[in-house]
Amino acid sequence: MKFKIINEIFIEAINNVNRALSNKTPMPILKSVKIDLTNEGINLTASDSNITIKQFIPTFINDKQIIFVEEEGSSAIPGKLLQEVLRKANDEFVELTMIEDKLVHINFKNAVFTLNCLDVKEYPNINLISSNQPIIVDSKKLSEIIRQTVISIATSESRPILTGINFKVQDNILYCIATDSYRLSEKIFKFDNEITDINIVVPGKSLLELEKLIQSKPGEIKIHLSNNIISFEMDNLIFQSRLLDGTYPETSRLIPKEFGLTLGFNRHELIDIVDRVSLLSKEGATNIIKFDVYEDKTIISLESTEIGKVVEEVHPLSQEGSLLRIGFNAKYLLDALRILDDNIVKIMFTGEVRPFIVKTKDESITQLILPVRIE
Amino acid sequence: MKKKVKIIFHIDMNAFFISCELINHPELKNKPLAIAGRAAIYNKGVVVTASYEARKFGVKAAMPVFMARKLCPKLIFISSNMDLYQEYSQKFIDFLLSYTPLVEKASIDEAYLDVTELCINQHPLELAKELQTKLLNEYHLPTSIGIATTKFLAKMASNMKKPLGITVLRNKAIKKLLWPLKIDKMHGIGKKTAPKLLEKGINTIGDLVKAENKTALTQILGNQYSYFYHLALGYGDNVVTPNKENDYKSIGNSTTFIDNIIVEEMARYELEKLTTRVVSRLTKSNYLTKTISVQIKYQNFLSQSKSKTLDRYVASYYEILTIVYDLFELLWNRKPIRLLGVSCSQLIEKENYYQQISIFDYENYLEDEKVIKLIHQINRKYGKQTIKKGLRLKK
Amino acid sequence: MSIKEYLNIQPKVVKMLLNSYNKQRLAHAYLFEGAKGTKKKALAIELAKLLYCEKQGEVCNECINCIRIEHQNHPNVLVVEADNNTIKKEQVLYLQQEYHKTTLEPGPKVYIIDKIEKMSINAANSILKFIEEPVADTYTILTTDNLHQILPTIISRCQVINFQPIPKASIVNYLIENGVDTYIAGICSHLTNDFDKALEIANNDKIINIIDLVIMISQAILNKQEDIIVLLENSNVDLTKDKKVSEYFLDVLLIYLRDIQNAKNNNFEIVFVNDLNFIQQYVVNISKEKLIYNINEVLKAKINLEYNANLVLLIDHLLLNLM
Repeated sequence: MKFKIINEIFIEAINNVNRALSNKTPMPILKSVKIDLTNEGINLTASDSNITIKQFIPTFINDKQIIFVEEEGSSAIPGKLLQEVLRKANDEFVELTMIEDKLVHINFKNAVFTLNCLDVKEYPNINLISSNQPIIVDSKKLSEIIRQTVISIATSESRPILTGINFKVQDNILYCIATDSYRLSEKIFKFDNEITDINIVVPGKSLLELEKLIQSKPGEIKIHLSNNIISFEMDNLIFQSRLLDGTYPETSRLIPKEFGLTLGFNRHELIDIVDRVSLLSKEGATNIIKFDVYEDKTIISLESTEIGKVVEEVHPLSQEGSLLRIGFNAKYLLDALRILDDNIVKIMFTGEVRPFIVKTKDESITQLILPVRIE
Repeated sequence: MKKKVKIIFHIDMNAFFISCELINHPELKNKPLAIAGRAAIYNKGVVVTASYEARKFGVKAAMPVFMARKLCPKLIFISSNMDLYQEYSQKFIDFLLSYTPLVEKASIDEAYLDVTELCINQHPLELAKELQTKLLNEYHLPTSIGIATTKFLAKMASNMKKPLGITVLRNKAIKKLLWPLKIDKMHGIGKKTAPKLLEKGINTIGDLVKAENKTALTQILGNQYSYFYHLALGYGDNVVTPNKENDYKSIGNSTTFIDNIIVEEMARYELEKLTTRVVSRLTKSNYLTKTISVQIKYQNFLSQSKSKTLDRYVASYYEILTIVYDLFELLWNRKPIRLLGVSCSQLIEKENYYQQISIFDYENYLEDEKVIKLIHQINRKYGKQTIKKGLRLKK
Repeated sequence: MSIKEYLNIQPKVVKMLLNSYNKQRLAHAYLFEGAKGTKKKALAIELAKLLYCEKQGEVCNECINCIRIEHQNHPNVLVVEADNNTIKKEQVLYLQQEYHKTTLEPGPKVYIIDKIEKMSINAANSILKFIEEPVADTYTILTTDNLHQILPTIISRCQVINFQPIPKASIVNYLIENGVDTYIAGICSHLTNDFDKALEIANNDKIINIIDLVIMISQAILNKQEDIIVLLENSNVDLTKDKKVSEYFLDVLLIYLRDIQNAKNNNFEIVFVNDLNFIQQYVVNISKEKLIYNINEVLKAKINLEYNANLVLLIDHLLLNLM
């Protein structure tokens, strides 16, 4: 394998795929980036086995030659080191030459770096796309889907399946659901093409990594779902993740359809109030706030025998239904309020010990919170 | 309404650190001892405290080690062991708490007690004698007790006769006993303030009271002048505020081993004992905890600790023990262990804890809903907390 | 070595595994149990290769799967082993996370946990969960040097396979085949049960000097020469630089002292055969008590060595006490 490439483009691609590298993997080969070179261009692959990122650099971009291929071939080059070397390269071009599958020379200007390489044949055979009927979604939308649900994934490993987001396709609707068992987020995405129903769980960590990657990449994304992997295909870039094995709890019954009390608030004002009220809890005590709903006002309070008490009176923009007194973790409400977009939010209660939901006029997103027992 | 006269004890443990060391090393009794840092072997550092035998030679706290050696060549140095002292300090407080809940821990080696109620049936002197004797015989902790009507006077009284003194400072005797004392003996007057007062001719506490040049004193003492003035006259704080466990913000126990531990099973056994103690203190004071820590000290005095914060509050022995084991595993480097400690922080009173309902169990609570609704309605109508669910009523 | 070559060392185990594989009756969880160096981990890895080798029912050691498993580069085969004498909580957490994920490549998942006794009881309990509820196409192989330290709940959920101790003779042969001098091979075979460890020791460039030094010191003890410290100073080995060298020295010394002990009990089957005459001649010079004391001192030194004691002090102290 031997080629010369415009460094600026090469390093950008390496930066992209290197997001998948991890120090924690026990497989030595996965510390490498795999480079597959043909006359058409370069495929770069990096993986920590959980996620895999692959990027294609074509030989020509808009008639401009990017890569000068001398000898086709594949190699596995230490990923972090390669990145470091390229960063230091002070030349327009870098040249990579593989020597007997064991060494790579990296040349630029007058410098030569020689890195030891592992045998590329040992690189895992990673299946990147496993379905031919993808869901097509805009990058911004996908980012929103992830941000609005990922807040509810479990952070402890006691129920591993809950550390993921449930992707469920049913009758041309994609349901994305996350719950740590005390709150739940559900995002609905409708699409047009025909896709077989499927129900899988994607690790939350993988999706957070994906979200970082797509933030700066507008455009269309194809989501390929299968029972073993999920992949997200963009222009010249594929992000793939393994899945969590196991059955996700059935949550569809959980979201109430009828409500005893609905309160409307200005979202920003409510964030300020809840934030202020839960200020007292930051000393490490519980974060439980209470909503005391009267005919003409709602009293939001937090009480702690050690620290004291805060009470704030609010007048909801709208109110409909029977009065109620309920307590819950302020963090869950704050998280939900913060990732919603509209100015107006509705909090819809069903009872003192039943789940309640937070919604905006955007019907596709539902945030559900379970209360605490305050009696 | 006549203000009720209170009886306050100030109990001060004499040469407390030394007493603790003597419990572990009785062979050192009656010898001149000094506690100092590890640097004492190199003749560096200062004396933390000295035994009465050493004090006879002029050895004092804060004195450089080399000077102490000069004054008393036979002086035996012991390196300080705060964990041990804290352990005995806690025992001391626990003992006092067995008499009355009105115990205020003032520092590691002293406490105030409000014994007004206790002294309805027992003469204060008799009670003081009993406390002192028990502390000495059962805990090997010599104390001095001051008896007075305010915390300040009690503190001054306990200082008058050491070790093993009991001093009553009646308000009538203030003039005779308190006023002649040097001004720098007045509790609260610091080393920096005393010389300034001396300069102004204030040599004794009595001088402070009788001083005519009040503006000069106000310049030195600021608005604290009137505070000290009143203290010296016998007016002052007589409210003993019991410490809540979480004033310390954590509950912990530790054990120092004479033979270092090298076997994992042994360490686990000790951790189990420590956890039992911590959890029982936790439940006794009605707390739940969120953060659990384990501390290890090695032979070479290297100390390390690790803690874990949970996403909820717990007080269950098994739950805490599991975490303690986990932390220990992460922490231990397999070298011989000199000390193990377990502690819980981020405490919350059970009263402030609410059961978080989950998606898997909320249906179990539905049958309570009607009752809860009713309670809310009644409380709203007749005022807060008119009724509660039976379980939450205090005995 | 391929799986069939292990037939000489662990014939029963290899036959049983091949048989179960051919009949598609492999258990989902095995516990390989036997003394140190009986090739438990090696055979666990061979079993993983057997499951993945491109030549069905064999281990070719040439195909990409065999090579990747050997290099721990196979994404579906995870080998967990003690790091610094313990299997850490993080390693177990990683294992658990792997267990709950789909595979990267098609094929069974294989988890090998070497020396499971190095895992804390807590951690062992957490892996119980997944041995208990076996998932299709998942194999877990645990190994242990000490069955007594394993939780009964784990033993009961695994098929326990006993590994027979390896005869010293086969280690000696293995060493000789690899070009080690017969005399040194004999001594090294007594230092460990592990073929590769034995070869590593035999190939250490200091081992001959260490053996010579041990012989000189031991002879000095027997014929009551005063100055063993001088011997040390004139020797070609520096015992105070390299922990490994000190470790080998103590081990070899222990063998010599045991030889003397054997001779004292009129048992002349000794390791240092070249010294047989000398030992017979001088064995009267040392009392049984002193001999036991000396052996104890060496054992103590070994423990202190493990705790990174100062090498200079340790060796000086030991040699003074041995006289």
